[in-house]
Amino acid sequence: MSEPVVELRDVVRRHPGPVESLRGVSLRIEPGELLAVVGPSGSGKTTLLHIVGTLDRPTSGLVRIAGVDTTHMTDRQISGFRSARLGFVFQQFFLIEGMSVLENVAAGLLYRGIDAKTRRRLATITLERVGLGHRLRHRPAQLSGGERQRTAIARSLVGRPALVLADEPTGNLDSTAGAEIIALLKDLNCDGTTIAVVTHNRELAAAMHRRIELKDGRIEKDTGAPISA
Amino acid sequence: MRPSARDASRLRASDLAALASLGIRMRRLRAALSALGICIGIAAIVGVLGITQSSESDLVAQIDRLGTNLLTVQNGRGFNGGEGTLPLTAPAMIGHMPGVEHVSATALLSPPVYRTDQVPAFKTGGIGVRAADNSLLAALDGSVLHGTYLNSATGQYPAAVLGFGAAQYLGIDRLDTPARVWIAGRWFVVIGILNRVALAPEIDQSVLVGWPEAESQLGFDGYPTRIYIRAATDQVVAVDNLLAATASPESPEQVAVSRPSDALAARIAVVSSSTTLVLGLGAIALLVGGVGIANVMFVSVLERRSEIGLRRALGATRGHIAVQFLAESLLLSILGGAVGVTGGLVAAAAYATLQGWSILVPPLAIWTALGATLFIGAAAGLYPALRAARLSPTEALRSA
Repeated sequence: MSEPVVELRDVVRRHPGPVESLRGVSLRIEPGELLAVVGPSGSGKTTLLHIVGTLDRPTSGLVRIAGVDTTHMTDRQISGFRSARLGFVFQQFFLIEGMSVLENVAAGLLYRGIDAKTRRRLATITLERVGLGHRLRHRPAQLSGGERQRTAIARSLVGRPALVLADEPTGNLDSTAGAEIIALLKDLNCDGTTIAVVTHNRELAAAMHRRIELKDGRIEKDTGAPISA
Repeated sequence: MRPSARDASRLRASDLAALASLGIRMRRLRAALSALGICIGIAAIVGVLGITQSSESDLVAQIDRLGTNLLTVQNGRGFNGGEGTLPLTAPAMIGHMPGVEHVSATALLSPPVYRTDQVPAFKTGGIGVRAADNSLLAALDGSVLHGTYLNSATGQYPAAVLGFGAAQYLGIDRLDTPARVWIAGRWFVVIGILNRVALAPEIDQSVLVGWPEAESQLGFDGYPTRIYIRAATDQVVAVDNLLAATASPESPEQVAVSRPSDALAARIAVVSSSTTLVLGLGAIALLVGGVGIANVMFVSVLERRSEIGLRRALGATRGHIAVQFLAESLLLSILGGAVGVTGGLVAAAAYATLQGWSILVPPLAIWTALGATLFIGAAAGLYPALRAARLSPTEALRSA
């Protein structure tokens, strides 16, 4: 069997103050999985996403992403690692208003030293893949919510990451647009993209192949990777 | 799999320019206002230095044109606006000095001069009558505006030549029709009007009559009161040193020797010192401008927390974030500086043109101004940039 995309062992993350934290989480995510992390507010979902996304470091425990131990990397190393191996999708989209849809997606490759022409070419291909080939020159403000999130998804995919992490990707969308995004994520997973979603949304969670339920910073239930994965 | 060189986070220099201008493009009015202080400061500095330099170079050109080799000799004990007398022999003695190229003696006479015999006696307008010899124009490097100067013939007749200012005061600006002036109870025909003599303003305010005519008709005793000497350029100092003793061997201490070009040189110093004040004000404007930019950068960092978080998620290092905001601050400041330099140049050029000066802006002023904007941009952006860089990705993403 191939190397896991994510391997956490006894990960503890304590925050000063009342912010959600992790109290010993062990987890493996295999390539090609489509999984949801669910749980009530304060259960540690977002912290887990930040730890897996190398945006935050554990207080103790082992974090291996794509086979690499990221816990002792320098800022430069970990930033480069993030740009090459990880993609992020956020509830608020975080598109930059001053740039076109194409430029926003191309920004996903900005910190990899790739020339602008190649970035735009790859961004165009990726936007076509998510069904926004006709919106390249538009500004984010001119798009519907669903289109904005698809733009953000294209940005997370453009660098061909080992893992896409999505934090409440349907949280700011109506149900129709949300359903479109769910379909897109499933579709991308069929192409081989490993996707982990953090969500409250039952519909979204139900659509994922595997569900990890967090409570009070611990994994309470894990439906496990499907045998087929 | 180990982290490889392939994974290093890299930002191309060509992309940095676009990044730096992003914030400015998104908020143009704010950017323009924040750069205004720098713009005004730089415009003031470049403009003032340009105007000063143009005016100085104009004065220098004037001095060059007029020459620094004109010397005047007077009796140092002049009184009540009158001039004391010099020995009769002084012009001839000075003429024999080595290094003296031209000597011209003049004498200020007491009778007033009037446009006509109807003018009340007190209305002299500060115009004096001066006996002058034939070599005055050669010594002063002066020229005639209208008519002719005195010569050996006209000097013996009631003929007068007007200084530029005297002609203006007397209302005689052309000689198409015969003009006369009323001096000491008799008419003098005006045969010429002189151009302005910058180094001898007293000549401008004088009506000149021939030496022999003055002696015979105006009761002139023949004693000169002011002698103009044009010395060889390389011997001015030597001539200067010996003039007093030569002019009046018996009482050289009564002789005052002056060099009229010194007065022009003194004006240069005055112009230079008055710019210091304006330059100081410009520097204050720059400081305020820098504070303005720092302020705007702080606000920008606060507003763009989520963008910072996003960029960190996309793989930007702390350094990349710092460089982006620092570059934005530098760009703001440079834009303000560039507009300021242009504005200053235009102002200096307009003023110089208005004054009829040749336009001259010291390149050093422009380079200093641009250097100052770079420094201000860096200083104003440094702390906000470091604040942006220190922001942790999770904190930045949580804020939205």
